[in-house]
Amino acid sequence: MLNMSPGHLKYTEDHEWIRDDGGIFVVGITQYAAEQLGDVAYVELPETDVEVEEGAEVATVESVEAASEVHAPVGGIIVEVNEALEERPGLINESPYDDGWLLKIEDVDPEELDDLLDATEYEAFLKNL
Amino acid sequence: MMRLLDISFKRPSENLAFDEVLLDGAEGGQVGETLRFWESRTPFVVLGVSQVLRREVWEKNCVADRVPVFRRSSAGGCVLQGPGCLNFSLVLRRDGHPELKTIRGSYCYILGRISEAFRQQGAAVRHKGVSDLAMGGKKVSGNAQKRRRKYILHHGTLLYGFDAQHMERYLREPGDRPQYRGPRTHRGFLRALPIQPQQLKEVVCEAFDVGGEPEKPQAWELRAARALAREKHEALEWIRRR
Repeated sequence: MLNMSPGHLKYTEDHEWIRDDGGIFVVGITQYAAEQLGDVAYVELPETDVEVEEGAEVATVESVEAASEVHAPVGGIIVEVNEALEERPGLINESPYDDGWLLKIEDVDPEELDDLLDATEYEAFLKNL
Repeated sequence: MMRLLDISFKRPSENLAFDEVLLDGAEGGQVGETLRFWESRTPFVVLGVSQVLRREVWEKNCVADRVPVFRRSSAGGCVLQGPGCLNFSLVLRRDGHPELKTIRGSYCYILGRISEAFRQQGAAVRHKGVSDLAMGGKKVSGNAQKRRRKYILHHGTLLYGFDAQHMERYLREPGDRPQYRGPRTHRGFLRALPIQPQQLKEVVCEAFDVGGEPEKPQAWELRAARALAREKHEALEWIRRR
């Protein structure tokens, strides 16, 4: 069971994570967010080849308890979405940092990453909730 | 100071769209926190955002009886709207209270305040499961949320008169069931609050310190709701998305 936020990711206070895969940035929601939602029933993902700004609403994750918006941690162009979530939205609960990724963004301004939280900062943020 | 609205539209789609417009307006900084009441004069079925239509609705019966089916943007279960079902909608700032920052916390906070206000009026209403209010172990209110970055929309039903027979005719038994429901059917699980709608409104207002007369919605809100109802809530692509 995952207890700590993975150290190689960066985070937002809206509970998104982001990973640099060699210039393509992978985005998902944290284990904390997934646990808050309960069993994810459906994920509304964005279109690809769309440019988004940092903070824009890019997806909606839906459970029985709430429909919650996901925001782009950084601006860029959405180049891929996780189509596996169509059939298996529960991947977000089972594997929030790996198979449960939501979308990929490229053309990212590296300076926007500096505004994000590292794992230690995110853990501290969670403790204060 | 929370704005109070008491506005029901003739078209079911506009009732659903208006709640979304309230949330969008708050998120966009055009309006603040709002409490809204509404009740439909005609029956219609409303799915939760991610529910699968064929699993939740007896569609043939709805078609035969001309009871339309819609889908809202918030989570939660399938509901039969109509006379006897008062709705309350709250648009709240997420940083307005610490418990609003989390989903479960927000349900506890909101439903805790409402149930306490009921108890102060002598009605033994309790928060049960994640998102229900119950009286004597039977459900009197179902609730759902849509959460955005700065604001949440929390809306719920308050049953004061309902037709169990019609409910069973249009709504299948739900797959997602709170533990306290057990094997009970709609008829055995739901009950009406023995309280008239005007007093129900007073209880909810009391719960959130909302006073004064209801205001009029802004003209842009009405325009936006009409447009959203037409473009989204009446669109088969949305209603039948799952």
